[in-house]
Amino acid sequence: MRAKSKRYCRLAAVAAAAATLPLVLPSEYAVHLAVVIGINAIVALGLNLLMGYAGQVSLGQAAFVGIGAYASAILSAKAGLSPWIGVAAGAALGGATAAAVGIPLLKLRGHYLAMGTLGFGMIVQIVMVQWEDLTEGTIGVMSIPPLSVGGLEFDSELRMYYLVAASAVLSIALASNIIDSRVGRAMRAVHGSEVAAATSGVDTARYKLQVFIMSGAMAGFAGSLHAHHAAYVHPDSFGFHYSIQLVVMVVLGGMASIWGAIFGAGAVTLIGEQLRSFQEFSTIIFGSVLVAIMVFMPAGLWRGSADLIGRLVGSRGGGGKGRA
Amino acid sequence: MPAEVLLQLTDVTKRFGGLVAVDGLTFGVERGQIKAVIGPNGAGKTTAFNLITGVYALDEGEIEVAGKRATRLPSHEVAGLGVARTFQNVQLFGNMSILENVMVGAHARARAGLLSASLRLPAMRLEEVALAERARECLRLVGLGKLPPETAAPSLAFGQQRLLEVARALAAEPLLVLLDEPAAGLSTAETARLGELVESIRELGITVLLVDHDMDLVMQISDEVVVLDHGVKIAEGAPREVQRDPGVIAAYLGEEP
Repeated sequence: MRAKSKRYCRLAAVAAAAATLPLVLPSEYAVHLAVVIGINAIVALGLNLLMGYAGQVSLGQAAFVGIGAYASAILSAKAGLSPWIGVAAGAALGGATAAAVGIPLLKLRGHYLAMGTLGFGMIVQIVMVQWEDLTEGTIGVMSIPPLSVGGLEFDSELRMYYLVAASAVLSIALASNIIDSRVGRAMRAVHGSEVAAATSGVDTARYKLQVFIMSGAMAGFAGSLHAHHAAYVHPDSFGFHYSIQLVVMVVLGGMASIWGAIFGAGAVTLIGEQLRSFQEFSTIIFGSVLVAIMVFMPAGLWRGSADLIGRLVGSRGGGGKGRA
Repeated sequence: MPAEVLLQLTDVTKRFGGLVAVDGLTFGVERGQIKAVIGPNGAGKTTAFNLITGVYALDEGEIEVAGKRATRLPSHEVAGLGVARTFQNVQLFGNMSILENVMVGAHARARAGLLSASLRLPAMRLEEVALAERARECLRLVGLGKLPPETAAPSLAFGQQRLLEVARALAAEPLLVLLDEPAAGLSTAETARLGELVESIRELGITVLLVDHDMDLVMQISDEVVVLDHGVKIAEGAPREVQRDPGVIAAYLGEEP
């Protein structure tokens, strides 16, 4: 019981922090970055459920974001439907695609699953480029309308910020509820020992698929938000580079840690902005960061620094009790 | 009184390439028994357990649990028939607390799905409370009740990890529990306590099938013993008869009978 009320307290604190954050952000550009971080955080949360908790690697997560983004773009900008239909379709299509590719792919393990999802990501990007009638190819879909409720349009960075922040807080609540449940334990059991999970009565294939669908739907949803935020989608945004960035967010923040995923999304988004001028070299820098983290802080920066602080402070050090 | 057969293996065979790991194995376990499977290393004992629990698919033969066909069922469905197990090389969920490890054991006893879990619906919360209570009971039963339930599973001593696996198996409220070398790596005192634990499991109405190399333990607690050598059953019966069997003695001493 104590752990639960603690969780809701933390969630309320994050919601309050998110609500007041724009007051201290110095510029419109900073608010824009906060929106991007929020969108990435939703994708990273989903990917962390898949990778950090259930132990299944995806190197093609950007594809689900792209599918959500294009669903929104095509339905609202080209077909003239309500952007909300686009968002719903983005999440649904992300989940449905995950279901369709997950059934064959999740039979693979470890490196083979990584390769399979990598290939899936490449195929989706090729489709975005080649299916010109639908996607406008390398030109991309432009003039995507903003989301609106009644007369209120989410057309400014600040309004979009509140929408994305609310979505991210909701995603945190959902993810932490799932982790601390029968479903979440089954997912984590698959990671801990697949054979012991199965002989304990866990239908491992079913839970792997469920978490893959969940991560795909969260990515698709975030992709839709991205489309209505940027008002423009282009195939280059959803390639291998972004998939790697997403993995780095999860690893950097710390696998199997909700707050780590949020932290990782923030850190990688901000580092990415700083590295823009390096262009393709930024991939090398990201790769180096990933290697360094794995070597020196395998639990991720979030828990790694918490342990470090704990050690510096002294007696309270015994961290890593396995709680998110 | 004819005893009810809870587990029946009939002509079960498993090959790995050219090696016949289990060869035409037939034996039954009666409800309420403590039965042991013994044999030299490589005799096929663990393979037999893996065939019963669906970890491996058998090549030939039939397996029945409580009168239902369990042949080639996936592991989680065998678990659904009431079979739980532990592992020779401990298979705990290292990313979870000891309480959560045991709660996974009770997975099939609960039903909360993705939707009720993500929204924390009232029925799901009630179920969680009941699951946690059941898990604590199982921890107490195996003698881990004094540890804080949030203790990380990998931080336990080796003997405690074995007991945690037993608790996880019991949480499933199984009809039959398979213990794969439960005494391996335990001290003499721990082994003695394990013997008492196995007896108390039987008193709960749970049938026990175990593999172990500790002959004192096996002979002391088992009602019946099956002896395997090179995948073939060479003897079956009460512990004393089996101990005197010339074929068994030869197998253990490495002579041709």
